[in-house]
Amino acid sequence: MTEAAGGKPNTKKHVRDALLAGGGIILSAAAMLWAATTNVDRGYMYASILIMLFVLVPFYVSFEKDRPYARQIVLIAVMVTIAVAGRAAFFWIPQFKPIIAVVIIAGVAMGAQAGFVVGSMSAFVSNFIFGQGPWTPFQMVAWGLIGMVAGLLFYRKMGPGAKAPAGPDADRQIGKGGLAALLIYGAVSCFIFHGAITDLWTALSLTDHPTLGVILTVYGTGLIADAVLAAATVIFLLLMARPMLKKLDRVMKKYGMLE
Amino acid sequence: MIETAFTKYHPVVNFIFFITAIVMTVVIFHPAALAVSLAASVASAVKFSGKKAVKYFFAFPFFVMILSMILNPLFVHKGLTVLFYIGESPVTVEAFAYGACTAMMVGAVIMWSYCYTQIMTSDRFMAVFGKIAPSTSLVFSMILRFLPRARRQAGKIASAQELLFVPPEEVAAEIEAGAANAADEADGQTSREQTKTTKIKKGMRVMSVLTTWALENSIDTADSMRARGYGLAGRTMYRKYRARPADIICGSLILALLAASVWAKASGVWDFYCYPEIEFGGRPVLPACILLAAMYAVPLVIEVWEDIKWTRSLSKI
Repeated sequence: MTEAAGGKPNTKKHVRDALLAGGGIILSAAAMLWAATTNVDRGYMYASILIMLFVLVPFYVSFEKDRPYARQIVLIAVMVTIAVAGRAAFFWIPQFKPIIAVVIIAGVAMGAQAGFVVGSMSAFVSNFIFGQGPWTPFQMVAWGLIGMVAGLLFYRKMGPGAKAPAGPDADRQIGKGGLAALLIYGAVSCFIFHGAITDLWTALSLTDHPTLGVILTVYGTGLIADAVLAAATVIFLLLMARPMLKKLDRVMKKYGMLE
Repeated sequence: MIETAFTKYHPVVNFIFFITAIVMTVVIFHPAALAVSLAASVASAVKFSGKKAVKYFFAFPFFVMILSMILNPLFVHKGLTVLFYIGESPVTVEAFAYGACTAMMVGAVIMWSYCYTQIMTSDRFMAVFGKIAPSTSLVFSMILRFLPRARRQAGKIASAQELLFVPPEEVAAEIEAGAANAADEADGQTSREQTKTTKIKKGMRVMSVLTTWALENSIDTADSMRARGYGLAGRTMYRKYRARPADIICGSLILALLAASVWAKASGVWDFYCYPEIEFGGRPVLPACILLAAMYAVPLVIEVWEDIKWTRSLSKI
């Protein structure tokens, strides 16, 4: 995050984030162990919901502790609004939504933490329109991770303030190679994050003791929907990534939101 | 989005109730408990928003429930009581029972979430989380404010861009056809029928313009927030929510009923297994069921009580 440091020494922040992440991982492992050994009915489902919370809470605690500036908060809210509006605007083709593309762009432009917040918030808010349910925390984690990993992979190279690519793409924020990498990431993330995590709930809610067979069947039936989403994400990234990153870059430069 | 008797209570009380209801619905997996939860959630939704709730129920959760009831026996072949065979695989009563229970659970959770959305408006949400998580709840309530604005702006952009997607040859042809076709022009929408690709392109363009607009606007919002002292100590809420004795009583009542239900669950009253055979815990469920029903019915009772008070006050005049 650019402004997030807010005067705090960076090492202190890193220690805090490491502690939060470590706590989340230990608690998740404990929940997993509990589910594997207990004979409580539907132990896996409780454990999975708990794990989703253990992933979400550290991120939001870290976000709160950073005391983000007004401009940063507003920018995050705007990206979520665009993502949600996009999900609603293309309602007439099922699964063909720009939302993952917008989340990825947010991660690229604003970094890993903001990417996570934009992704998980988009899931939370858009489910007020499309229906909340027990799947909400799973979707929040899945989309949050999509935004976060996008930030980790691309923020330094393509984010605002990064060097413009040489050659004919000099005015385009990202070069051909960068765009290709972004597209590949977009397609892959639809399967490994969205597909695997969101459908986990479906698998766990269908039966009490999920076997590998049930999970694979559920993932198999979800493949087509995930493929449509992946295709949509690639198309939207192809058409929107460059202009939107340029717009974000311009706004952030113009209003001095970079370090 | 609505003002009812239940919204007169402190947002924390509302929030505690909904979280309790949703968690207990997921935790107590027993046909009687789930039936009570489903009935209470649907009744509360109808009480809060009337016909709209009925429409919502049949438009969405109803189908999910049917799907769950059909899918489980088709996928899961555990259970001893075989009803019939599809090909090689047995369809069992137990799998049906489990599917029906999951259906009730999913339906109840969706309907409780619907009630939550009706009652916990963004300022009420802020009143609960504004102190604990100020940035997150601010992002959340800002999004809720931006969304309708973005939708309105998207409509304006779309109508301004309408003609951009008619191919130039067509425009030229239309101009050539000119006055002769002027009469048809009014209902000449068909000549501009759009393919899916044009529609997608158009949507994309609207989104792009919307982004520029939203980003520029957002900076104004942020600056005016700063000018009004965002992030300074001593901020107050738009609305003042004070805890009244009634809030404390209602909140404690919910928590007490929750504790009773958790105790009942822990002591095995709510034991219920579907596989290999349907098996109940063997202890009488009725007292625990009444306690649970009382908890789920808290908002309903409050609403009905208010209605009674209202009708009484009318008859006195």
